[in-house]
Order: sequence, then C-alpha cells, then structure tokens
Amino acid sequence: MRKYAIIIFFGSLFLLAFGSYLVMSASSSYSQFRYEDQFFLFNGHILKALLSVVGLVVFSMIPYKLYKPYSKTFLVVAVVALFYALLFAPEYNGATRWIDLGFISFQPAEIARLALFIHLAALIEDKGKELHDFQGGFLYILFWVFLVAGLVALEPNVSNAAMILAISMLLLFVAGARLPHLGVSFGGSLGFVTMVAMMFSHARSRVSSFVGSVNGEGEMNMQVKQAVIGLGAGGLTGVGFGHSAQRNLFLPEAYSDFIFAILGEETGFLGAGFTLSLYVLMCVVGALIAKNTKDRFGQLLAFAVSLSLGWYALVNASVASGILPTTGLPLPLISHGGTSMFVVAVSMGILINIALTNETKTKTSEKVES
Amino acid sequence: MSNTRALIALLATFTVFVAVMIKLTVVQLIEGDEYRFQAERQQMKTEIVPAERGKIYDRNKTLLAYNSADVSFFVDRRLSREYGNDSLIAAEFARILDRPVEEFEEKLENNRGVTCVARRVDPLRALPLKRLDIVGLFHREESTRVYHYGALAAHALGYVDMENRGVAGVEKSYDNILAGEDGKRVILRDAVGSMITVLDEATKPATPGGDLVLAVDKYIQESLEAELDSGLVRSGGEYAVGVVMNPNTGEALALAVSEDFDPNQYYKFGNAVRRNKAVTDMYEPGSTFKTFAMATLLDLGLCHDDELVFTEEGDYHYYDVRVQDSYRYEWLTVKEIFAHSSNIGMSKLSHRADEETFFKYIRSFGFGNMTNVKLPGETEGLLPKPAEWSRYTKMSMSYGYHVAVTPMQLAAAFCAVVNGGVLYQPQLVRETLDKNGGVVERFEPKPIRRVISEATSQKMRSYLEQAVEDGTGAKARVDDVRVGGKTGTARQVVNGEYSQTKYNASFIGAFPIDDPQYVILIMIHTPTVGKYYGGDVGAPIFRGVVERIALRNPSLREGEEIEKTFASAVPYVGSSRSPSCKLDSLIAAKTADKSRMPDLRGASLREAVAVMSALNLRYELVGSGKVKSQTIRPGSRIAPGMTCVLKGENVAMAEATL
Repeated sequence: MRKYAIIIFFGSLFLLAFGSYLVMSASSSYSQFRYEDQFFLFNGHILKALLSVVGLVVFSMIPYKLYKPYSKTFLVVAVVALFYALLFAPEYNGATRWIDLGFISFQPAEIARLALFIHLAALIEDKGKELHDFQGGFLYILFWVFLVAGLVALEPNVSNAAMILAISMLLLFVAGARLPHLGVSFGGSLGFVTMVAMMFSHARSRVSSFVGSVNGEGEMNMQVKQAVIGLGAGGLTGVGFGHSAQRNLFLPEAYSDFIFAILGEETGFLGAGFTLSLYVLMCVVGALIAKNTKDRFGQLLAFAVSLSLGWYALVNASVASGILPTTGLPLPLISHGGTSMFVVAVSMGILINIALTNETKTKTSEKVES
Repeated sequence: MSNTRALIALLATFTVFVAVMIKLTVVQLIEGDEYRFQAERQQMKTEIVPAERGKIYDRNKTLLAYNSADVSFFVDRRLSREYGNDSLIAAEFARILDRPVEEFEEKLENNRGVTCVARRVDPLRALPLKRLDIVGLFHREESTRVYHYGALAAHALGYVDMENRGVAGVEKSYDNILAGEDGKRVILRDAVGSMITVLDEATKPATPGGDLVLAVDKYIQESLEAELDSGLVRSGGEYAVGVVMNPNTGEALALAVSEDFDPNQYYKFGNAVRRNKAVTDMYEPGSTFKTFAMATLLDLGLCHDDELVFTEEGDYHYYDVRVQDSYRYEWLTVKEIFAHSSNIGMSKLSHRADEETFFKYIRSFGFGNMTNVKLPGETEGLLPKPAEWSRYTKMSMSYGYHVAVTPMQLAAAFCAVVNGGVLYQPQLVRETLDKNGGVVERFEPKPIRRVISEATSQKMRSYLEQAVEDGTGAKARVDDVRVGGKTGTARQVVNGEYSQTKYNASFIGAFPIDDPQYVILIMIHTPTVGKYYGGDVGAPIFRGVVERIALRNPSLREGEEIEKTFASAVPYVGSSRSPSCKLDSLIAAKTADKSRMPDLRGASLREAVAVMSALNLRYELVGSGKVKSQTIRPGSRIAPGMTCVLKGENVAMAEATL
C-alpha cells in the first residue's frame, strides 16, 4: 500500500508541476493579449498549485475516518453554497459559478462533488443491505445524487452534472446496488440530463453541432477543430516545449478546458499518451487501494476519487480529440482554474491517507466482504 | 464492494482510455501531416515585401515620378464590435484626418468583416494613426506613385494601377526595370492577425526597382505643353500632338498630347484622353510628307533647284484624277514648289521616280514600320507596297496621301532629312540607374541607316528654310533664329471619303536650320476655329515652342532680342549713367567678373569694344551709336573666344545686309 501511496503522491506532484508549466505556455499569448503580461494567468495559477500541494500533503495526514461523522454536514453546507451561487452569484455563460468570499473565491460545484462522494460512501456503509431496497435505501441515496447533480446542472454546468451522476451511478454499481434499480435511475438521469441540456442553449448547440459533425454535416465546433489541429500538428514528438502556436489565440481556453490540445501539440503523441496513461495508472492504483482497504467507507471513497480522476481526464481528452461534444470539464490537476485543482489534490491526499491507514493491515487482511 | 463490479468499472475506464488513444493515434500520427498543414496555414502568414518602384527623372535629373510611403488602415469589424471600439476608431480618425466623424461611422456600420477605413494616407498623417493601439485596427503600407508635376509629360510617363503595375507609357514599357522584385517575409501570427515573430529562415528581402532617366527635358516639355494647350484652344481642335526631338541622336526631348491627363488620378480620365496618340494613332500627313518625297527626288538627282515646272495654274488633270493647289501658279522652280507646297508640282516631279525606288526611299525613312520608341500600343502606320499601288498612288504619296503615319514616325523621319541623312531610332529613355544613382545601362543613340546623302540633307535644309522664309510656313518665322519647316494640311477620311470639313493641320520644322539641334512636330486634329491650314494653325505653335527654347538657350539666336528680365541682375555700366567714369575704370568695373557677360547697353561702341577686348571676346558690330542690344545676354556665363554681336541704335541700314 505504501508504494501505491507513493505513486499517487508523486503522480499528483508531477501533474501539478507539469500542469503549471503547461498553463504558463498555453496562457502566455492570451495573457499578453488581454492583460499585456504574458504571466498574468500563470501568476494566479502557480499560487493555487502550491496551495494544492499543501492540500495534498495536509489531507494525506488527516485520518480519513474523521470525515464520516460530518459527511452529511459537509454535503448540506455544499448544497447551501450551490443554492447561494445559483441565486446570487452571476452567471458566466455556460460555466460553473463562483462564490467570492473576498479573501478567496471558489466553485461550490467542485466542493459539492467531493462532499457528495464522501457522504455517498458514508451512506452506503451505514445503510449496507438497505441499498438493495429501492424505496428504503436506494432512493434516499439517489436523492442526494440528484439534488447535487440537479443544482450543478442548473448553474448551468450540465457536463459536470452528468459526470457527477455517472460516477455516482458507477459507485452505486460497484457498491452492489441492484441492476434494475440502477437501470431505472440511470435511464431517469439520462432523461434528466438530456432535458436540462436542452434547456440551456449553450449545451444544446454544443450537442447538436457535435452530432452534426459526427454525421458529416457542417463544420466541427471551431474550438474542437482548433484543438484537433493542435493535437495533429504535434505529431509523434510534438513541436517542442514552449513552441505551441495554437495558443496564439487560435484555440480558445487553451489554458483551461482545452489544455490537453496544447499538451498534445507541444509534446506530441508520446507526451499526451504518457500523461493519459499516468491518469489511468493512478486510477487503477486508486482502485487497488480501494480493494485493499478494510472499511467500506474508505473503500468506496477511494474508489470514487480514483474513478473521478480517471474519468475527468479521459472525458477531457475525448473532448479535445473530438470524440465527445464540448464540455466544460477541466483536466484534473493540470487545467487553469483553482477550485478543481485544489479539490482534486485534496482528494488525492485523502486517497493517500486511505492507503497509508490500511498499510499495516494489508499483509494480514482477509478480504473485505462485498 | 464487488470485485467483479469494480473490475467492470475499471475495464470500462480502460476501454475509454483505449478509445482515446486510438483517436490520438489517428489525429496525431496518421492524419498529423494534414493537421500540421492546416496549422501552418493559419499560423504562418507569408507577407509580400513590395519592392520599391524605381523613380523617373528627366534628362537633367529632375525628379518626375516617385513613391510615397502611404498607409492604408483596416478594421476587423468582428473584433472592433466585440471590444466596442467602433466609436473610438471613428472619433480618432475624424480627429487626425480632420474629416466629419459620420464618414467613418458610416463606413464601419455599413461593412462587416474587414473594412478599409482610410486608404493611402500620406506618411505624415499616418504616423499618429499607426500609433493608435486599438483592438481590431490594423494597417498596411501601400506605396503610392506620385507624379510630382501632375499632368506634365503624362503620355510619356504613363501611369500605374492600384497594384503599382505599369499600365501605360514608360511605366509600362520599362516595367521590368522599374518594378524590381518583391521580397517575402514569413511571420508567425496569432488568430487576431498580430505578428508574433518573423521566421528568418523563410525571409527574402525585396530588390528595389531601377530608376529611369528620360531623354525628356522638363523645360522643353513644359514649353511644348503650354504652346500646344493654347494652340488647341485657339484652333478649337479635337486634340493636338507635339514631339520635340534631337535630330542628331533621336532622343525625344518632349512628347505631349493635349488634352492631357493627371497620371496621379488616371481613372478620372477617359481612354481617349489617356491614349498616347503620338504612337498609337496614324493619320494621312498631307504636305509635311512632301519633305520626304522631295528628299527622295533630290537624292536620286531627278530634279534641280532652279528647274522650272509648269504648275498648270492650279488645276492639273492626270488621267481622271484632278489635282489642285491652294495657291495658283503658272510656273514654279523646284524649290518654290516645295516652299509654296504645290501638289501639282510634286505630282509632276513624282512621275520621274520609278515606283520601287520611291517606295524603297519612303520605307527607308521608317514609314510602315514601328519606330520602336518603346511605348506601348505603337502602330506601324500604313505604307502599301508598290504591287498594291494604283497609277495614282505614288503621285498622291508625294503630297502625303495614301500613306498613314504616326507623329513619332514623322518626327523621326524628319530628323533623318535634316541631320545629314541618317535615320535614328527615337529614344525616350537615356539611361537606367541603380539605387545608388550609378548608371546600369546607357542607351546610346541608335543610327538605323543612312537614307539620303549629306548633300541632299543640306539641300533639304535650305528648301525647308525657304518654305518658312518665303512660303507657306511664314508664321513659323522667329526673329534671329534660323528655322526651317514644312506645313501640312490633310483632309481626314470620314466614312471612306475625304471630308470637306475635317482636316489635320500640322507643321514640322527644325532649328537652327544650318545646324539643327531640335526637330519639332505639331499636329492639330480637326481644327474648327478660323483657318485650318497647317501654316495658320501648326506654325504659330511651332514658333512659340522655338521662342521658349531659344529663351533658355540664347546661343541659338543669330541676332537681337535679348531677354530683358535677366539684365537687371547685372551691374549697369552704360556711359550715359556714369558720365564721369574713365574708360579704364569702366573696363575694370565691367570685367570684374570675367566669367559673366556685362551689360553693355547704353555704352558707346568704342567703350564696348574695349570691354570686349579685355574679356577676350570676339565681337561683331552692327549699326552705329550707342549699344542698343547684345546677343550674349548680360549675366550669361562666357568663355574667351565667344562671339557677341553688338547692335547700335542706328541699325536700319545694317539689318538689310544681315
């Protein structure tokens, strides 16, 4: 387990460092153009990256079992924050709202996600067998999932909501929920997401333009097209560090949601493949940590944050390479945007703590029953 | 937690991973080149670095055409709208260019995409505009051809189009020299169009074009244009063409078509005005062509000066063709036939030459062939071959019909008649220069062939002088300048018949006729006011040009007529105003500057002679009394050995002997 913790720790550190470099390169032209200082966005980012390292270290030392009693409180606070953001924070077209507390501003959606996973893990451990009862346990759990996902969707950040739904469903699936229950709720959430997606024009147009481009009608979404051009121009080995040309305002949000394209442009197929492999490796290592964790709470929490890391990375890469329609999802630990990075770093810290906590018992452990 | 289900979840994750890797393989490895091409196409921009067009000078290196580094300004409307800069742009442009703000607001409102807000702003006013740092506003250097003297020599210079390509005149025919070679610069740019960096390895500097030094003399060109313009107004003609050539080299010293056009704004003028009719249009020359017929006959020895020819009292029937003269004479000598421009006399003389020989001579003068003066659109005129001739063709040709010429051909051929008999190729350009002013290519005079003998040429000069002194060209006479020339009045062919009302009036002459330095052709197309004869319409214009040229170059003058405006600049030394002056001090005063001609007017002839001796000048005295005029004007640069004619107050008797 210790080596798992080491892999997660250094993997996270590497991604944070590499991400900081990529943000510096990818944001330089935009910063110069908009703020006449090519380090403007990077300066904000590097502080948060350092803060994220602190979060990673600190949370790896806090015993994860401490969270369980407060999981509901966390989630309620997060939901209130989401409500607050929905009512009072300004809408920024198609993106997650921010809450500004003066000294710090953050996206409540990111925090709510982690809080939801913690509470789901707690609930499933507590309810145990009731999970199989649709009305008795499953529905109650689902209530929280839909509440958080619904609020995030209304922000409106439909893609993030869909990811929350998907990972929650996956978690319930792994936790042993009945397949018919999952089928019904999955179908329901699919309908729900589709409905909400169609409510918001930005999401609607993204989906329809994606469908159009897949069917060969019309142009690919401009942003996706530029991302693909960047990836393609990278070739096998890339155009070299700092030599991205797509960052020169050709690719909008090159430093945030589409940073994967700059990664692929500068470091090529090798760099992009290596980075994606690292995410998947960390995801698998996280699953192994989960497998070797004695308590169900830790097990499910480890699994949730691992899957979350892997899936966010894969979905982000899918969008940048044109497999999926445009979403507003960041590349974990790399993209510019503080809250996501910090929360993912914290969740990696928790994962490390789970691994370290279960270290001693590994050798003697009997398999946790499922 | 179910291990199986966890495995399924991981497998699902792995499946997505594989899918993404496959897509990356396709995009980055398989289709990578295609995307790299697309990337370069949008990221790199190849900018043409336009070569600076060569300048054009007159023969004395007066700058006639150059380039102004103008700047055009464009607005990308999408950007300017997004950043809300439209009103700012309009306000700044209105302020700096001093124009109503609405003008720019309208331009911006009515256009989408990239809009030109100000085209070709001169460099001085462009500077503050270039300094404006507004998102969506950008500029491009667009050099503008400037013809400094406007319409001066417009038809010789020609003009360039919006892309600075030569369209007419020497601008077109020497475009390959003037244009230079554009360079290119590859820049890395961003999506907004700003330059990020220049890629040095793909950059090629522009090669500037070479300069042209024309044979044209600005002063003579101005003189010709001024006289041609006023002559055209006086005669009410449709247009007028004038050519001044140096007969000894074939250089075109001036070439003018009136009305002219401003090459800076060529688009405001019609094609008919812009056409260089000196080379593109042919016409039946009429009597000016007798020059070449007579030269041919004299060169063949088929007639002699004093030989008398019966001129039928102005009405001659040759088979069923009637030839008439404007002035009726019974008998004329050969020389008089020429001086009085007798068609009948020429007709009769022309019978003496055989057709082939006659044709050969005319052809040798360059008719029926292009002059290769290197101006676009030149025509070769019309000279039918003897096989196509009727029995009247040679006769008609002898007085300028059944042959069509361009003014340039006529002037070039006339040069051969007066210069000793050699035809030169007319030249508009003397030399080409590189950017440092070094001569790249000098165009030496190009003798084509000897057409007539030296002796014939000399004889023709006296014929031409007589035509002015005592003939149809009387109105070309200039005091103190020996000129010779020939008038021409030709009916135009309208709808296949010779018009009774439409004429071409022309005069072609040379001076000083004993040693011709200038040949001048004047042609008025369709004069409508007053008389239409070449002697009445063309000769006075010729005279005006000669006078203007002689004004600048007094050595051309034989006698009197001193430009008085120069005189006041020189200290006056006449004895009447300084009666107490002794002769010595007078001489001392007058010869203080030995390089300048003193003003001797008012001095006694005796005093004048003393001064002339002191200056080592030769002198001729005419008349008696005090000096009234001197042929070297006061203030002129002098050198020992020059001759000055001093005329006294009483010259009535003396004049007759000159």
